[in-house]
Amino acid sequence: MALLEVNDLVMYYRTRKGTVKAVDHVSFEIEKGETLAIVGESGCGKSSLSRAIIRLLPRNVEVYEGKVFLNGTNIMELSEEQFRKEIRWRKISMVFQGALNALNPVLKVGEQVAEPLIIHMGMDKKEAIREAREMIKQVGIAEAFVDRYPFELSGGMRQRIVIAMALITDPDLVILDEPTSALDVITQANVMNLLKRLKKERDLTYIFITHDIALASELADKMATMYAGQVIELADSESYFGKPLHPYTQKLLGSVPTLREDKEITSIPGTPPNLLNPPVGCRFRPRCDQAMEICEEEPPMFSLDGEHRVKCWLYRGEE
Amino acid sequence: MSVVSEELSLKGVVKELLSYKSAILGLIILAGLIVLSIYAILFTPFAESGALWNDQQVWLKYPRTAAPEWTNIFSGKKLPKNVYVNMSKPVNISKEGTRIKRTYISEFSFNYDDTPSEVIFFFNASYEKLRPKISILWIRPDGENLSLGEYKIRKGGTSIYLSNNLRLISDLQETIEERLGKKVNKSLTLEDILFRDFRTGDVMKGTYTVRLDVLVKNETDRVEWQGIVYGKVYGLAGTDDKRRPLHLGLLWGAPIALAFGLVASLSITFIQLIISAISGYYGGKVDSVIQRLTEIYMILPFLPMLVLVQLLYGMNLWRLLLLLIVLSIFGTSVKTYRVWVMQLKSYPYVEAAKAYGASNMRIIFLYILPRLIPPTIPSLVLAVPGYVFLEAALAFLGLSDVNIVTWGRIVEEAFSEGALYKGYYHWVLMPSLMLVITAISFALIGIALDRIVNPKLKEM
Repeated sequence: MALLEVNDLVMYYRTRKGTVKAVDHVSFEIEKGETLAIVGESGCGKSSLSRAIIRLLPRNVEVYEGKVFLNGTNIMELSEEQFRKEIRWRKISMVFQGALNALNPVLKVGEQVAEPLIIHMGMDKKEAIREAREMIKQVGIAEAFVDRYPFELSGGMRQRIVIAMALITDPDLVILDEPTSALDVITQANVMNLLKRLKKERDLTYIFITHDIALASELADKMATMYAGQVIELADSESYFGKPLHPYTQKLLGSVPTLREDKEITSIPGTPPNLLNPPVGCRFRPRCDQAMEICEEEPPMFSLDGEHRVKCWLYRGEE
Repeated sequence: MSVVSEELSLKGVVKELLSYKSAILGLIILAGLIVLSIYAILFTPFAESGALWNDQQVWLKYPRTAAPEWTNIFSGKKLPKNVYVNMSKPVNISKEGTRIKRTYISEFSFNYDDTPSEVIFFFNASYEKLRPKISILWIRPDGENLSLGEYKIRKGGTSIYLSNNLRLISDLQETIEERLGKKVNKSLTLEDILFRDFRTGDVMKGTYTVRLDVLVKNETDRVEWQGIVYGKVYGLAGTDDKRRPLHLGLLWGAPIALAFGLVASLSITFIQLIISAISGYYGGKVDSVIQRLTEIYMILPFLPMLVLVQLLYGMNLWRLLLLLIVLSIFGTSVKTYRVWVMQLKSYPYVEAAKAYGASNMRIIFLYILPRLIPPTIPSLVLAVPGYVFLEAALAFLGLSDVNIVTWGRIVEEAFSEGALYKGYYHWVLMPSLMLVITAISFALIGIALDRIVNPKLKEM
């Protein structure tokens, strides 16, 4: 049984201009210990997907439905209070985009890391801070920083604190929402190494959300491409990088320079679609150079070679 | 004012505060007021202050409406202070018929430029049958002897007010006219008669003698006495028309003024913060209700309502404080604070807190309110004198607690006795000075704090 199974998850926002289809019938599953990397352009709904999983909904949400099974139970059926108490941080935790702002400026980092323990495990403050101290050491920050305030820490350290905070309750699943996007390359590498080490040591399951394909390839066991609110390709890393099927994934990979081979860097024509009224049928159709007539109809998810799934008419009949 | 990115530590604020000379002055005044308050509570009968203040018997030995002593420096005249004529051992004990006569002679020196305000003799007698009889003889430095009459005294305490004994005064005036051999055209006061040179009209300096004869029936009958020549200046702040020394009133008023101002300001600010946090954070219907309530409160006339309730119920000071808080919690600041809360609640760290399951109350109290407190501190400090003045204003309207001494009440008493009209300026000025000093102290600190917490002002 998969650790997490997402089935037809939908989340639409209501805005003055109309409905934004940020997450549109998304399905995937993750086994325990696996890392799923979700890549896509800015504004394709990656962060919305992660928020939909942990049910951190904005005020203007219009539609929020589908099924999310965690260890076999549908967590979409839980009440808000049950979800807050039983799922958030106990089962699923999250590392936020831009750790610089994800810390309470008036709490010392030790107290900050201890917060989930105090809230969820009912620990008293002293005990929780003792645990937090351990965790902070594990993410590679000297103990002396436990009594500092967030503004006294560097960006990389703050990101480590946020990671420590995500791991302190020993959750089953950690959602990493662009955990390194605000960091410089060296710090990024350090944080990635930390995430790898923690994964090995604690047998963690990650959903890694990023727009950086190179970074995703370092950590991912499985890859997913998101485009205009939909997952359009889902495969294990080997076949994803070795033999990408969707034209969009192909172009996406083609736009990233690699060290091993000498290749022409290509760009994708056009702009990402507006999620207010995405194109009818295949959403990539207007930018696709292999578009056909049938593409005006919405393609289903085709499963190839066992586990390689792709949402493109090109692979009709190849199942 | 914005709440964005203020990483202010308490230590940093204090350090920066001390770099403002005005703030240091404010802090010194405030420290002085606090020391006064602590002194008043620990070393004076503060708990009974209200009862003492209302008890006229307590203050008998203080001069009436005396100016502060330091006014001598400005007037250039040496106005008299209280002079006590104390009982010593009797110089002579003799028999007079069936009675025993004890004669006392007491001397005092009087070296002031003006006559005293009053002369009173106090007696305390215990006897068996007949009431003791006393007679007083006043011997001036120029040798004139004036008899101040004979009196029978009762058991317990007796006070003989010489200064308003009109018959005595007219008798004495006649005596003087006889000795001078001519009429004095104006009517003299007792003090004029006792202390002025008849011919020149100057105040006589030198040693005065009081001879007091006490006639008692039995050997065991006791009569204790003391004469007081009341001055025209007293202490640091003078006295009022009920002889109460104002410095005590000012002292007792200090802790009440500070407590009233601080408690009002602190509790109103914090309750407003909490209300606006709830309003801004939850939004929706809760927000609507709180905002509409605030608007209603903004329209209600605050002072007239306070006056009306106080007039009908005549509450004590602390109930009045409670009423004041209740009438202020939905003040205009709720609107300002709410906007800050709405700004803060969209911050990523608040969202993160929601993600890791912090309850709404935890988010409000641990994530949002602590960030609102620094920018509200200056206005909190600046509001303190406002509430002190409000209490004074109510007292001035005669609506404050009559069982507590406050600065406002002293001003009110002065006003109702026509202190300014009669020239007792100190009576109005001293409590007003305390009020103004308190206001200045908080204003100096508040303005400096505002500059630190809201650095935009610094550039202007």
